[in-house]
Amino acid sequence: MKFNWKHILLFLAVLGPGIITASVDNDAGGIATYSIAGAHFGYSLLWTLIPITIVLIIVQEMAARMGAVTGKGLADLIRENFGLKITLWITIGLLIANIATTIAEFAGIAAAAGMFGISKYLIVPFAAIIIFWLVLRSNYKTLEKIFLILSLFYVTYIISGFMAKPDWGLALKSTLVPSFQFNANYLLVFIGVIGTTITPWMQFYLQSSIVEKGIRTDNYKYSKWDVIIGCFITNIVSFFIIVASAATIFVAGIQIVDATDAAHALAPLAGSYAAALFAFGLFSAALFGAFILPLSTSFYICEGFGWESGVNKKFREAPQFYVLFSAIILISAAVILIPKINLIYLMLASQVINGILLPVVLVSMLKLTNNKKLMGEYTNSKIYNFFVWIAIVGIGALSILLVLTTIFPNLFAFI
Amino acid sequence: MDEEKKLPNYPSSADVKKHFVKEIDQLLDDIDKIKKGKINFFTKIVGKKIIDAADKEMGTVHDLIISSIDKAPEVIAVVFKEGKNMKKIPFKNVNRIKENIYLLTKTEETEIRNAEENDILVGKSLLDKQLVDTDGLKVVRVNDIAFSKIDNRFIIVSIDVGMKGIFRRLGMSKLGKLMNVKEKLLPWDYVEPLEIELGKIKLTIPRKKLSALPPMEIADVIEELSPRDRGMVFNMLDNKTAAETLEELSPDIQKNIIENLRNQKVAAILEQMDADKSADILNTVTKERSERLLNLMKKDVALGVENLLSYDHETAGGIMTPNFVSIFSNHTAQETIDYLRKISPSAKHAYYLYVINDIKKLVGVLSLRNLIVAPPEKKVYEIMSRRVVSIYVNASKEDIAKTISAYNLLAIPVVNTEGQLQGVITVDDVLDVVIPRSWKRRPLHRNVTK
Repeated sequence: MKFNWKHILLFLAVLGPGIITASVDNDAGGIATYSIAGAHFGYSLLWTLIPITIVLIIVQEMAARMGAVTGKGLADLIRENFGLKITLWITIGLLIANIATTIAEFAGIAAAAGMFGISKYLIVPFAAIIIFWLVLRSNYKTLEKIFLILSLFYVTYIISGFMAKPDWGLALKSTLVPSFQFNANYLLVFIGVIGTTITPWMQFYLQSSIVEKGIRTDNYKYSKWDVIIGCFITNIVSFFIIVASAATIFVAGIQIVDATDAAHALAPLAGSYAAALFAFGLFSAALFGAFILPLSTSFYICEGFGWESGVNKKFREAPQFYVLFSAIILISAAVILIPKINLIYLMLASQVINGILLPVVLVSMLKLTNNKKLMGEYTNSKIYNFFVWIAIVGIGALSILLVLTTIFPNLFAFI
Repeated sequence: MDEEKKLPNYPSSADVKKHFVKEIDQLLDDIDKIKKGKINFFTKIVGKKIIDAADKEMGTVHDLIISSIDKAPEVIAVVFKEGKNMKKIPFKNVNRIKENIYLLTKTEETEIRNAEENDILVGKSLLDKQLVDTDGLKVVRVNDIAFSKIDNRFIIVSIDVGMKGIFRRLGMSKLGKLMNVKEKLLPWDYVEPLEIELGKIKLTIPRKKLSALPPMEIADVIEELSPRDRGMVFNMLDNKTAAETLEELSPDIQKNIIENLRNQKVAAILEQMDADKSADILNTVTKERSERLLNLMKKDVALGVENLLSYDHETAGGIMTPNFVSIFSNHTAQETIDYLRKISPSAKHAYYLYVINDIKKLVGVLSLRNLIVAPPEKKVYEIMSRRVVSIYVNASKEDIAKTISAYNLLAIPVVNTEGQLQGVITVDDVLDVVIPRSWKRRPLHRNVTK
């Protein structure tokens, strides 16, 4: 593609869905996972980011292309081509998993605010109200702008990565040269990193927002760059999160279990500004996730069952959409407000459901993108299919491993 | 019709009503037919065993083939699977559809063939698809398809778009009953399939069928749509229908639609409306847009509307229509009849003939009957009634309603402080402003329940 101003303008016009979807991928859970990866295994997991980026691009591109060619969401297409029952099970699975993830986002909001001394009883209701208000009062265009601004806050992680003064030479080498450790913890974190980066709900969200933005085949080539750039950005952010905790927490040999631990541990090692930036990044990422997850969940459930949906509609026009959206936020915020709540089982359950769903969703996507009647000349090429299959088999195997290790925590102890 | 005898002065109003009633009746009839005829749901037929005349099981129903997807699609074959192959049995071989499907013939006498590429399969091409408007507006999803036996043919009569259909398909009808979910059936007549390319069928609630609905029904449909979609629907209605539909909508939706239409279209619609109604609508837009719209409208229509706009729209001046019929006190009966014939006023504007003198002052009222029975050379002032109830332009809507009801009027003239006739308020204008909107609404999809 020759670059001139016209191309850049056309690109800016379709920019949004890809970058937003990829950014929100680094949500509260993602940041926790990357922090742990860096804190426990130093730079040694950095190499996974390259294959993850490639797979992410392949998968997201399929979703975006389907949206642009068919003008329908993924749930729409699954319902039309695979029937009501499959749709129902997928949506129920996603609903539960996404409520759990939304709860995790609110937990992230509460934890990050806690680092600045703000009570969770204050910040969680406040965040819920802000989310409500913005979604009820605005249209897709405004929301997208807000989301793009939230995406910018990820730059805090890049800054704290630099502030941690990492060993750049080693970081670069670890990124380019794969290494592998055969022990249970390494495998768990390895699977976790992949599981948190490629999730079922993202595909639904991306495709729906492509449709809602009105992107069609004629401007799809620009939208494709939105998707690709988004995937790169998200993994660059992941890179810096891992680097920041590897350069400090790993070196100091501190054990952490979540993202706030990481932020706390950063303070004495990289300075309190780095820690504050890290916590602030967590806050905006969690808020971002708490926006998008309920939204996307409501989107595809309505799609699947033929109810009107979209933030551009009024409550009366899309009652089911707004009821779902409100219920997910209310439930999630309420759970976090329960004093001394232990979320570990909820998170494990959501991990299992996502792990089971992901291969199902990916295979559905593969079948749909190869359907000539649906995609016309935009079906996958043979080479593309080959890579998608490798990705699906790889992700599928890891997902099954993830599910098994979640249910049987001692599975890898025998290795 | 009784109504016509009682109110001989304006038969055309009753005609309009009759027309609406006929349309609604037609729709109710359709629904009735569906209710009475035993419905077989597609998803209940799928999976039934096919038993031949020798009581031998041939397979289970996989799908149904229909003749076409035009009006009243007829089932022509039953499809079952034999290994990987889809086989079809002509529907004329089917004897009865009960728990199982019983054939009239034995397997070896039955003409079994492979299903072909261009056969229209119900499950594959209709089920789970979305019903959309021609412009791709999303409306509902096909949860099930209802067949009925009409004149010995098995025909698609309606599509199920409700929650009850979803529960039925999931085998959870009991749960659905417990939750009291409603059946929502859309008569097939209101569905028009498009794009019959190989297996790809887009359903549509078509424009022309939408336009054929009474404006009140269209208004119901419109209320269900998103703002952007409303504009699209309005663009496809002819101006007259659009005007009538607009009058049925609530002020906030009216405003929203006007915002989404181009000035030319709005002006064309406003021209079709009564001046008082267009004035109401112009009151909701910015001053600048209002001016531009008036500029686009025909001069004489615009003038009347502009006059109304100068009044507070909560008062008689704002509600009244300037399109009234006034006759002159010094004309003869014959001259007046000729005049009326020339201007041929619409029914609702001729309930009463208001009489004005040479300085436009309201001096009396005359009924059409008295005009017609009077000797042709009599002057109007000799036959008119001088006792005419009128109200001032600044009267509140409550005052208008009270006056109209106190004197049992169908219309009331509005005068300024000089007693000059300014406009007329008809009883339906008043009803529009005093009746709560909720009374006028009816649901679009009637629920078919037993």
